[in-house]
Amino acid sequence: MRSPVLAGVLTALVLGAAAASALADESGPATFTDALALAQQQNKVLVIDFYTDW
Amino acid sequence: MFAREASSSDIIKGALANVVFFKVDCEKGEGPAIAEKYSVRGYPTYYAVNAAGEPVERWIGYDGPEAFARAVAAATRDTRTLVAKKEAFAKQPTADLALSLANDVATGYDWAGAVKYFKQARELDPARADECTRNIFTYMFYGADDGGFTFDEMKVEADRLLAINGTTREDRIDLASMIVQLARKQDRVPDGVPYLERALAEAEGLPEDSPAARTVRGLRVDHALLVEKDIPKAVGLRKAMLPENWEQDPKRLNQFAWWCCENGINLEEAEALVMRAVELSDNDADRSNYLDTAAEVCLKRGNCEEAIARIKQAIELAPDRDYFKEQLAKFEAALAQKKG
Repeated sequence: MRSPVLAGVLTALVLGAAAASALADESGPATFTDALALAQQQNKVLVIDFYTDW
Repeated sequence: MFAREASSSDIIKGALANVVFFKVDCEKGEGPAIAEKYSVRGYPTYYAVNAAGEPVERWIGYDGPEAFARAVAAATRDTRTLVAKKEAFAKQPTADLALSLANDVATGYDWAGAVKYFKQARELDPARADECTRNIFTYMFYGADDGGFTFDEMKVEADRLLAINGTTREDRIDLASMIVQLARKQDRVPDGVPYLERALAEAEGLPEDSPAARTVRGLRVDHALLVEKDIPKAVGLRKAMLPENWEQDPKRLNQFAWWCCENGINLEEAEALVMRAVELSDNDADRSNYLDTAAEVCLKRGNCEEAIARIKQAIELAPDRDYFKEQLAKFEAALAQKKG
């Protein structure tokens, strides 16, 4: 079976960029609902970064 | 990469200044439920949503601060939902809408759809042709595995990409690596060789610690295998790409054996090495995967009976894996064919 290490360019791109957690805004919304409410209140778009710590 | 650059990039900071930014760890807390709600398939995936939570933009992967900022800017510039943007595009196509829809369908892994929209965007706004061409080539590469694009179609885009001013040596090396992979998959190796040789010529003097160095080492293996047809040299170069003590690391042993299997070379050693991986492994999940590699190597060596025995061992270790059962059927069919 192919090793995950060799599992293709897309996976490499995706996994290579996965560790997005360092941008945490500690003062930001704690939950998704809060984030949505804040975006509504500020009349802004909410940008969601879906990541994992793999 | 995003995390590293986000903390230092003024471009990213500037892009995020105009939006509310929220990170979702898709494996913790409310993350899995939100990821499921938005049909997230890979990481990172980014969504820009309106106050109702409806997507106005979405895109996959992180491709540098500029591309990230462009995507965020598209979301703030036009806050219509993606559904509305699709309807608008049908009535009055624009490059902006085509790019939004290209990223949208790419996020759903519809590579052919993404390529179609990027090509439309390229026609609608020639000023952004370079950006579109990079994406067209990349998504064609992803889609090529499913037979979505021919080598000739991709070659046209590769040549366009190479003609772009500002393409770096690293870009050209990456492109050569991708073209060679495609050429091999589509039985067009002679057509991939010129890209391979150009990239290797350009790689002369490239520092060994540069990001492209590993790709170059892979291209040297390809050159030995495909151009020089020197199998011992290719095997040696491939082994040299592995880290120290790889022969004691089951994952690396499997990785090397799989490479041998894919190339149909050095199969005797490959079988011995992957069986060592089976012995060294500390869990049944990995062990069953290594047995599958062993089975494939046996098949390549023409030993169908041994392939069946190995995959049956894998099934014993991982009875829930349907893939192994499919493999067993494949090996049994090969044996039946062999017996005539």
